[in-house]
Order: sequence, then structure tokens, then C-alpha cells
Amino acid sequence: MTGRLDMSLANDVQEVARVIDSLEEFGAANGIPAEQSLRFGLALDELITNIISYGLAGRSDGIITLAIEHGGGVLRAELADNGPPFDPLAADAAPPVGDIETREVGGLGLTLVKSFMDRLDYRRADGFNRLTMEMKVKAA
Amino acid sequence: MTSLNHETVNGALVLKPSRRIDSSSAKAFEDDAAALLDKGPKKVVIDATDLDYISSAGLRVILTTAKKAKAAGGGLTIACAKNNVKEVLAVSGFDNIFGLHDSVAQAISALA
Repeated sequence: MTGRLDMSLANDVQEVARVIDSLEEFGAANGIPAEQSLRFGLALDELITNIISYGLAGRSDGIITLAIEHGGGVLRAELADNGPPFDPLAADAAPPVGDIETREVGGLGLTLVKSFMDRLDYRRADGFNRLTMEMKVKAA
Repeated sequence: MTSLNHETVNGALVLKPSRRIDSSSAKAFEDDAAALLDKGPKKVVIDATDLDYISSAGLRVILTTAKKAKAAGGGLTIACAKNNVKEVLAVSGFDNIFGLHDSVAQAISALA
């Protein structure tokens, strides 16, 4: 089964809940197990949160669009934003070290994204950061 | 008033977040947990039975809560995590920092 979901997001971290809710519905309609939809949602959560917290912080002209597709056993998304050029794949991921006293969580989001996605691709085009991500899914 | 499900068991504060701790809900969890810890308990168990999802924002507020518990002379550990949550804890190394337990009772014993 092939399906597509297009969303336009406000520059507000509360939008993350709406994205995950929508993705859960989309996944259920496409026969994707809830656990896998949530794993994909986690990667989107991390990337969207980064865009809103850093790239578009304090901007009233921020644009974020999200397109999600399912087909051929793959969940695929393209996330675009008009923030300054930023390739999250080139940023340092946090090494999972340190104890409770010293541990920081910076960079951990990207570690999770890289760990859970099967393919990630960044390009800058027409004033937008465009991140494409893919995750293989097994039908329920 | 907090919306975070919680109870006190043998002096330990058991927090039972439901559904998701994502970027949009992490702050509420942090505030609720801080308010409950201010009432005196030093030991905290996160009962993840009803938790389907946690993001790095959720990990951050658990770490903040754990630091607060430790500063008070107690600690924090996690019980009953589902597979999705376990995966995130494993990738982040948080499973080793806090420990994962199969039951709330075991988790409370581990903090004793």
C-alpha cells in the first residue's frame, strides 16, 4: 500500500505532538506496526525540535514542511525549513559516556536519528534545508 | 496540581508517565516531577509501563530529575520499559546510568 501525508508546521515545539499523532494515524492506515511508526516519529521529533530551537529560533517568517510517504516497505520523509544552511548529518553526535553527574544530553537527538534511520540525506536548495530520511518497515 | 500519575511506595516516589515524553510534553514532566520531589522524597522510580515513546527531550528531563534526586541524597531508576523506550535508553547509554528493572518493586529495592 502506498500513502502520502503532507503537513505544514508552525514554528512551535508543540507541533511535534501533532506530527507524531498524524504519523500514528498514517501508520495505522498503512498497516505499519505502531512501534515502527513511533520510531520514525522519534527521528522527526528530534529533527523538527532542532529546527525550531536553533535554525528558526525567534523567527516569525519560519517555514517548515513535512512530506511522508509509505511504499515498497519503506517509510520516507522529506523535512524542509528555511533556516540558515545547516546539515545535521555533519554535526557531532554525542558519545554515550559519562555518569549521572557529568552526563549531558546535547547531540543525543541526532545520535538517535542516525541509529534508527536506514538512510539520511541532506541538501540545501532554493533557500531551504531539505533532509530526506528512510526507514524500512515490516507490515503488521 | 500535577497531571503526572504518581504514587509513593515505601518512601519512593513512583512516577508513571503515560503515552509519550516528546519535545512538546517534556517540560510539563520536568515541572511536575520537580514539584513532587520538592515535597521530600529522595528516591524516584520511573514506572514506564504506560510509556510508548521517549525522545532526547525526555531523556534530558529524566536526567534533570535524577540529578535533583541525587543532590537530595537519593537516586533514580527505571522500571517496566517497553521495547521502543528500551531501545532509546540503550542507544543513549541511559540504561547503564539508571538501570532497568522488570518491576517497580525491584526498582525500589535497587535504590535502597
